[in-house]
Amino acid sequence: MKPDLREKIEQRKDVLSSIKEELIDRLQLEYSVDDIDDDTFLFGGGLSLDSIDAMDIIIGLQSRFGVLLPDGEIASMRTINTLADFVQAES
Amino acid sequence: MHNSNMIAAFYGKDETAGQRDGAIIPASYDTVETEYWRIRKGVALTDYSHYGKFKFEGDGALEFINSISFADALRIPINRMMPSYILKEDGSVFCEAMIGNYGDAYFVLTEGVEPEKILDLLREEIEKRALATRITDQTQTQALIGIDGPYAWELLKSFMGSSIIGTRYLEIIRGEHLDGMLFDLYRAGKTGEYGYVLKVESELALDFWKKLLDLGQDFDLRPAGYQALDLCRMENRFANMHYEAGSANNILELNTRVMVSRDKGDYIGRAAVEEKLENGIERRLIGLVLENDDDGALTPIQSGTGVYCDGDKIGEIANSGFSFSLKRSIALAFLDVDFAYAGLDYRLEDGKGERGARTVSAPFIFNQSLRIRPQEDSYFNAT
Repeated sequence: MKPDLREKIEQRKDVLSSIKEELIDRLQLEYSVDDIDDDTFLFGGGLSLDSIDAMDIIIGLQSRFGVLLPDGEIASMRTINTLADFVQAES
Repeated sequence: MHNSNMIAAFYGKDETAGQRDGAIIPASYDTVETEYWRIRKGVALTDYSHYGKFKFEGDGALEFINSISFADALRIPINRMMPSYILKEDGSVFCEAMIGNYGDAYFVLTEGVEPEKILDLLREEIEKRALATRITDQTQTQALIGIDGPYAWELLKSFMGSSIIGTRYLEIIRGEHLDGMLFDLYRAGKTGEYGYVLKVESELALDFWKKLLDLGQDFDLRPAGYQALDLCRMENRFANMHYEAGSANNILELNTRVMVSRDKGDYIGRAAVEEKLENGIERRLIGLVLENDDDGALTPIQSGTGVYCDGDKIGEIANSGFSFSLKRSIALAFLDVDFAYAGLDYRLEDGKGERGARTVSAPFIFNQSLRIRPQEDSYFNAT
């Protein structure tokens, strides 16, 4: 693997891991970071979160990454990966 | 071949007829694109006659289901469903299994394998485990009809009342009637839009179907075949046994880690799952969007096409299609876990040529249903 690709992947892994840690801590999920795949859905199936949890996710992203997920920006709130897309685009 | 399906017979066997799990059901009734937009923008009716349908009763029913199910059925509240899988001993997928808890019984809907083969497996397992449970195969006696689309709830509201709006994902509503015909409703669609599956006696299925078409006239309701459904399903990353789920070496490659329950006791394939939990999987499913793909609809990507990074093969395509929403070809690929991250550019090579593709987060698209507010919105004032 070329160094630039490796660096890009490492950056992504760091963001994904931080998001998972934040969600586990803030929402008191009974999972470890390794238990949650990057494409795990947040609502419906997957983590089965609800609208109250959605508010906590917004607060968590602001607290940990300093990014504000606008109200109604539900396209970014589908999976762990879409949250990471948003964080990386805004950071 | 089983075919209790009066709906397929009603439409006749023409060039659009397909076969799923041993049943004849239409692959399409119109163009796939037309049916796709019905699902994505309006309401569509679907025939799920190929599903296996099994009822489990008795004191040992839950324990038995947990002995064959990957996910933990103990977690299912009464009148709710849970998606799961039945695995093979090597940890790969035997079939999909949507498990419903009726309180006094469990109901399991299966897809991916002929129901006769599933029944054989169930009988073999029940004999092996000697649990007090009784299995009834309802595959021939019950029919399943799907209603999918951002306004599916509104069609149902016209004969079920406003309570349908509050129905939660994976909830079961029992004992409803349409024109005197008894049905149960599962909110368990696999398109990312509002989606419901209605269970009705097989002998009533055709009348039920026709009645829905009649009630749906104002909604421009038309049937959709499994090709359009498969595409919607892939866009929203619901695993499909007929493609990627059927070619996974281990269930954990399908991003199913949160479904694992390590304390639910033994089940088929558990040793293989535990081995991967300890040592890690080698590959993982991820989405790809093709670049420079103006003619993507004309040149589909084949399953098995190699995915390459700097000349090295890192995986292969397991499912693909043309997304009418994105106007691009999309694909699902099993990639080496070290490379299976979103936002990376790789190459696809199949011996005939080479195309660029970028890995993307699930799901592929944003669903209109997420913007719908049933208290305010309506099919009749949609723009």
